[in-house]
Amino acid sequence: MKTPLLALAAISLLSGAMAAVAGPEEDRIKMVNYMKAKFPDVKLEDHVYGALALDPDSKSQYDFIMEFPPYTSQLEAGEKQFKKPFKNGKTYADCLPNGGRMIAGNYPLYDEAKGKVITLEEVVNGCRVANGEPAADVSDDQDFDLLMAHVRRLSNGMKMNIKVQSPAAQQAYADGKKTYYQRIGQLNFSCASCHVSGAGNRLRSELLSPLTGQAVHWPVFLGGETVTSLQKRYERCFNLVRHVPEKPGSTRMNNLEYFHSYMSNGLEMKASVFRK
Amino acid sequence: MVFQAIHKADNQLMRSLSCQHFLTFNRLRSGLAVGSILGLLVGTMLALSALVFSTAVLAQQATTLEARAKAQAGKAVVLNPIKGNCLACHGFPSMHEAEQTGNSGPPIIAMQSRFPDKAELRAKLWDATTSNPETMMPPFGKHQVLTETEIDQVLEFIYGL
Repeated sequence: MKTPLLALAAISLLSGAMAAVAGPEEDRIKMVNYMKAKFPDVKLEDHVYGALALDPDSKSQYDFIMEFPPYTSQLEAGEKQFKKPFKNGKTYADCLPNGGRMIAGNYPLYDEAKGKVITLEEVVNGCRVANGEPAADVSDDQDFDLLMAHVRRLSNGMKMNIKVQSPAAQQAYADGKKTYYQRIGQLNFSCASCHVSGAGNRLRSELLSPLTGQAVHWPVFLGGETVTSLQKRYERCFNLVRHVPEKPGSTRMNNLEYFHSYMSNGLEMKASVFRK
Repeated sequence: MVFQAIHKADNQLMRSLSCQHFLTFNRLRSGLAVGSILGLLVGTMLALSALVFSTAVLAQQATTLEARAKAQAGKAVVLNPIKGNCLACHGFPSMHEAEQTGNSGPPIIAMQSRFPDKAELRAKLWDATTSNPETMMPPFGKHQVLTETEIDQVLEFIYGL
C-alpha cells in the first residue's frame, strides 16, 4: 500500500518539477520524442547530419566528400583572418571568451544588460569594433562568413548548451518559436511545415531534415563551395516561400536562431560541413 | 356535252359500287393521306433529329477539343516550377514525364473516383487549408499563386488522371 502511495507522491513531485521548467525544455523534450517516434531507427546524435541521417546512400557520399572537403582553401582563408592581428596587435583569440575555443554551443545567448539575443557572429563582430576595426556587415560579407566558419570549428565536439532563464529571455525564445511555426509568404509555409510534420518527406528528390540537430553544423558549404551561414539559410527559406525576409542579424532572425538552437541542445557542434 | 357524259358515267359508277365499297375506298384514301402525312412527319423528324444529332456531335467535339486544350494548358501549369510546381510534393503515377516527384502530398491519380464532386477538388486547389488546416499545400487561389483560369486548367488536367 505504501509503495503505490510513494510512487504517486513521487510522480506528483516530478510533474510539479516538470511544470516549473515548462517552456523551452518541455518543448525540446516533446520535439525529441516526436522525432524519435517518427524516425525510430535514427539515433538522436545522428540528427546533427540533418537529412543525411535519414538516407544512408547520401550519408556515405557525404562521408566520402568530407575526407577531403573541396572548400579546404576557404577554411584556411578563414583561419588566416582569425590569426591576423588587429592594428593594435591584439587578436580575435584575445578578445573572445576562452580564446574562442569551445564557446559556440553557448550562443545565441540572451544578454540581460543589452536586453536582446546575441549571436556568436555579433560577439566576433564586437571584437573588431572593440579593437578599432570596422564592423562587418553580417548580412552580406562572405569573408566574415569564412572567418565564422573557422571560429565555429574551434567549438566542434562541444554540445549545444543554450539557456533560456529570465522572463525576457523566455519572451525572445517565444518570439523565435512563433517565427518557426508561423505560416508566412505567398506559399503559406512555416519552417515547421517542412521540418517538423514534413521532416523525412521529399520535395522532389530533396529529403527534408528534422528540426532537431538543425542548428549545430553551420556554416555549410553549399555544393562544396558557397559558404552559407545559418541566418543566410533562413533568408533563403523565407525567399523560397515568397516572404520578404528580414536581414541576417535582425532581432527576428536572432530570436529565431535562439529558439532553433535551443531545439538542438545536447547535440554536438559540427561546424563547416558540406551540403548539397 | 362532254361534261354531262362524264357526270353520267360517274353516276353509273357510283351506282354500281355498293355502299360498303365506297366506304372502304374512302377509308383507303384517307388512310393513304394519313400515312403520307405521318411519313412526311417521321421523315422530317428523322431529318431534324439527324441535324440535331450532328450538331450535338459537333458541339461535343468542340467541347472535347476545348477541354483538351484546357487540360493541356493545365499540364504546363502543373509542371512549371514557379507556377503549380505540383511535382515538388505530389507523385503523378500515370504521367510518364513526372520524374523524381515529391511525396509530401498524396499521389495525383484516380481523381474522378476520389473527388466525384469536381467542385470539391477545385476548392482544394484554391485553398486546401479550408478542408484540412494542417495541410502544407499552398493556397493557390487565395494567395493568387495561380489565376482563376490557371486553376480551372489545372483542375481539368488532373481530373483526367
